[in-house]
Amino acid sequence: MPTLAMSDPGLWGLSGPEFLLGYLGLTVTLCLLRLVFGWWFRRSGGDSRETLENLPAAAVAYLRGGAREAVLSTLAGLRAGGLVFARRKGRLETRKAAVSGDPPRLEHAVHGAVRRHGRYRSIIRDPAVRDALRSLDKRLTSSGLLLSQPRRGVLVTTMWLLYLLLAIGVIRFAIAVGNAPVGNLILTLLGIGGAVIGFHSKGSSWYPRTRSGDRALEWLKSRYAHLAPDHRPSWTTGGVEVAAMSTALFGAAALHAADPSFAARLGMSAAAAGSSGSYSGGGGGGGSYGCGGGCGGGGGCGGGCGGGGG
Amino acid sequence: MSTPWPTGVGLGWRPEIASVFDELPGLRFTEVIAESLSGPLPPGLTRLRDQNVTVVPHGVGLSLGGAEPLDPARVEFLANCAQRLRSPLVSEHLAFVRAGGMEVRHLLPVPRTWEMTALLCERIRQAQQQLPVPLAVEPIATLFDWPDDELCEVDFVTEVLERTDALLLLDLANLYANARNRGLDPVRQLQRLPLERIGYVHVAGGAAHEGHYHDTHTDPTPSEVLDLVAELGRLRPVPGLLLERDGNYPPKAEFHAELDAIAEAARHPRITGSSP
Repeated sequence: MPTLAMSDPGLWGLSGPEFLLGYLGLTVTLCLLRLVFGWWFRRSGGDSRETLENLPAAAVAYLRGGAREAVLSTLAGLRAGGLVFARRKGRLETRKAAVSGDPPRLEHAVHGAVRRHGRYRSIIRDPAVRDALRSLDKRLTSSGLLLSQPRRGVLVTTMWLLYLLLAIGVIRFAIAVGNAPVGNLILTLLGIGGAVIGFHSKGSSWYPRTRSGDRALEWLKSRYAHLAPDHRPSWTTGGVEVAAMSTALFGAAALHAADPSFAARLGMSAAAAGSSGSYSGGGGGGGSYGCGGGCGGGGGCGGGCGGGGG
Repeated sequence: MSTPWPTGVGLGWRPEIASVFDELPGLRFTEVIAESLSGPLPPGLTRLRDQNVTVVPHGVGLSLGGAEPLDPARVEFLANCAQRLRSPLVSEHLAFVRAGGMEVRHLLPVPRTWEMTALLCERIRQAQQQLPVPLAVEPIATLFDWPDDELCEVDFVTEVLERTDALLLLDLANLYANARNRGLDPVRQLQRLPLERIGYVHVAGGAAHEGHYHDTHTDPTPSEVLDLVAELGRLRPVPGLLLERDGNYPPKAEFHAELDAIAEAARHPRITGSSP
């Protein structure tokens, strides 16, 4: 194991101070670039509310969480429509040869993928599904709700460079510790680590959204707040549209709340779905007062204050 | 400025079926359980109010017939709901829901005695003094009568209404359930009520179980209740008529069909947008 002394040329031909200076300089430059690019790229405008109202559930799901969420939302809709079911864990089956009418492209592709593969995890890798997902991505990008591919590439590259810097710093630390002062290096590594965490947590983990995309998602969640799992939206009543949009906006938790057996067969536990299994007892923060069966006769007037009430 | 008086066919607002309300182009009134509005108004309900759809807060917590004094805070809450929703009236029940500090979480029948009549009237007047809008009171469905009842259901309700000048929330499903379970003629019961005091009307579904009819609110409205709607229409114009459904929600098409059937019985325009 090489040892280091202050007078030595140092590991990699750089003394400790020389390395630290260059390392710090690169780190700060990269962080600044990441911040500036991130801020600049995400400024782009987006769609009006009118268009957002017409955004299909799969596109909303993709906007919120990418390919997996779009596929999950589509599966929820197909399940609610009686076209897909799961006999055992991880295995899906279809009831019909094809979706009738003129279904959205992803719905058609997912249905076909279920017929071809059966395994839930294989669906997202199906070529027709990937093609439909690319189409969704393109639609959202041209609407200004997602960053363009080149801009995503720039942000991804800056993040990978940060990871690389972090790795280099850790390696340097591992070699130097016990042989040379590493206090400043530790501080720098902590700084990079914090920056990486900060970049990941800023806004959301789904970085390709523009600010318009963030605003659009917030507006959609407010518009469809009644589809949140806490409100137990009736998928029987709402049908395919409610199932798909509820899952699009609220993910696995929505699926788990409405159809726990199907969710479980897709490998989603209540804990993983983020569902506590408890409900507020009603919309609008209701449920602070419960009134059981109501209106006499064992039922009525909202058993449990409207079954959740207003 | 308040929203209009309830007219036409309405559907009770529940978060589970909020999506249905997006597809009822003719809806002009709805009702929400007041005690579920402890937080911000649900966006869907706010949208309805802003579209000038009448939203009536329907209380279940005043316990007008309870032994404990009326809680002014609960009345204030109901009043606040009316103001937030810009409602032209509020409603509650001729029932009790708590005793000995215990919440029963169910609407329970009161003894139909002269003493209870006086107590109910006193409570209703207290509430009326605090409320900014008229109060409609609903007689509930009950599977049993107290042994010391001194009045029949119709006379009891009439007495309370006349003494307090309160409005009647006529629940035709409750009236049917009570009549059926006691071997009475529901049409005759209907005819004897002070119909001129009706604020608005409820209909709901139920089911028979072990010899009794239960006002479940989780089943379709039976034809017998629709017949009562038609009978009411023969006696006087049917005011606002609300379908209550609290669970076991059917597919949207079935909901629409039920609402259309209610509209037809009441001779009200359809709210589903479908043609007769």
